[in-house]
Amino acid sequence: MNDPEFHDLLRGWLIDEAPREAPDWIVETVIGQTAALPQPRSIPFWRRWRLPAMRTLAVALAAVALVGLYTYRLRPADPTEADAPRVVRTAALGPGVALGMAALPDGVWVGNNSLVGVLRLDPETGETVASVKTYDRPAPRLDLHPAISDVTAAFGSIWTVDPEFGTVTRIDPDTNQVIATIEVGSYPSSAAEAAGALWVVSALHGTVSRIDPTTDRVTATAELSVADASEANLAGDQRALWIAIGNELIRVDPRSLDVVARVRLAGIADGIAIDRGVWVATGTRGAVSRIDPESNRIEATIEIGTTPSAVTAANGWIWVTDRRDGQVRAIDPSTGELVLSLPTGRGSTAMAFSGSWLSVLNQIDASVTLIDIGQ
Amino acid sequence: MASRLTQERLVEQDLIERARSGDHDAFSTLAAVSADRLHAVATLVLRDRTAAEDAVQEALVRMWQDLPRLRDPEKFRPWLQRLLMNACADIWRMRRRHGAEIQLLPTHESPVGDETAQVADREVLNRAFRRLSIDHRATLVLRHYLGLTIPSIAAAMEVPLGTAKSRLHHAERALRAALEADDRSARRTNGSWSA
Repeated sequence: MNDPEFHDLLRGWLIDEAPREAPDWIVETVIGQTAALPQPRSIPFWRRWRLPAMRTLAVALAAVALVGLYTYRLRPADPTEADAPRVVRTAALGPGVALGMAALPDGVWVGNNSLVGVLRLDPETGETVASVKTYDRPAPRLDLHPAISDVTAAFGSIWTVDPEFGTVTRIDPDTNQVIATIEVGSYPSSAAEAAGALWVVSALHGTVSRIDPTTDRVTATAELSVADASEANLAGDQRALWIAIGNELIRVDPRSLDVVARVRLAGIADGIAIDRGVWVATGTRGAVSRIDPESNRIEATIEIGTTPSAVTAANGWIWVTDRRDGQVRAIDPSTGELVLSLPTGRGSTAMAFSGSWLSVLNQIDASVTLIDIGQ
Repeated sequence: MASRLTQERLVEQDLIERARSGDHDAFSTLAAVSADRLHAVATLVLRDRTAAEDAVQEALVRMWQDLPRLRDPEKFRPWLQRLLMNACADIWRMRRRHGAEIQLLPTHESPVGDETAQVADREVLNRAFRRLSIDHRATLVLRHYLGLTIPSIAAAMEVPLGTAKSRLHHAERALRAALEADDRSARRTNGSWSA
């Protein structure tokens, strides 16, 4: 029995042996016990201030904020501009948790765990025009490994990353049919196009694999040496594949598959895009950073919103959603200035651009905000 | 490229922030949404229904008490896994010390036909798994049930990276050895053993 067979057997056995639900009385008992149990208080802020480390940190943060304000004078957009991007409609997605989104000119594709597949929306009407099942299986538990963790558009196809099934699924948008199911190893988490290939990160092994779109086969795999790749974000071009994992940005040479640079980020990465630099949103830091691909260093960090999440380059601007304050904001990449802010929905965590449409996935509202940003 | 935070994760973040500020209702909801996962892991690790229930209770009570000290809500899940692993280890040691009766989980029914070989493998896995130490069991469950990476397993079990690696290696080797021994035995029984 080889390693994959053994691991599949072991995993299948564990899943079968695990109970699906905990008895209700456990939680009821705990709630009763803890209701009478005082919760120890954390150190009050004024006391933390007395700690030398906290004092130093606060002074450093204040200095960074002052420099940031000085460097990037934030300017609100002029809402009276006739051709300014505008929210055209909000499309409801119906039941099931939406996971990942991609766009082609005539369709917005949203992953759906309950469906174990993707929904196709017409951006002109906001209506769901098709649903494609990637697997004919029951919906897996979200807190373990969802049916779909990422959706991306590349090489004229829609690709879904399927952690529960260890595959990437390719869908033909002309026929709305699955045309390939590619084994990529345990628990893939996310995918993106770069240098003529599709790249997939495996959460379990901390690796990135290259898929040849002409053969739909994995042609190479590289170790990333990371602690946890379950929340990876990828973007790439002909020169480089950039993978943001945790508070680290990893640059991979798409030809040799060597890790050629590692950049320490200011916070946990939530989204990444490339346009005149590499842009990474760090929700925990409340900022977007620009990394210079020539020096592989952070060149600027812009405070934006409360918890920036997804990032997309579209129409010459860098667009950043915010999963808490319900806004999508645009930054001019040449100046770092904030040029526009538009309302979306709650829990905006994914974004896709195609044609003249910028789509924002609002997970809490189970909806997609469709923004016309012009040609 | 989009973030992969799920709706569940967003709601969870909100609950964590409220619960660590002392909101007991938020804690109750957080406990309810975490209980299934904790119970599944504890049952797999301990292979004892009553002990697993005790471990889940213990971990959830500790969660309420220690939440104010959790600085980064993003690290809630690994932190809670660590609480559960500690609770499992404590309960396992206590029960062994007091020689408590182990309530064995029922094995699955034996099917027929082509599934027989696979079921035989699972039976062997079941027996071999029970012979492993609590730490080796936990390592296997964290790796192959929850899909954690080695560094995450090391963090959840509060052991050095090398220890987590060697535990996983040892545990997998023990299970493989049991399967291979069973396979040799089956071949001998079928008359194809040539040694």
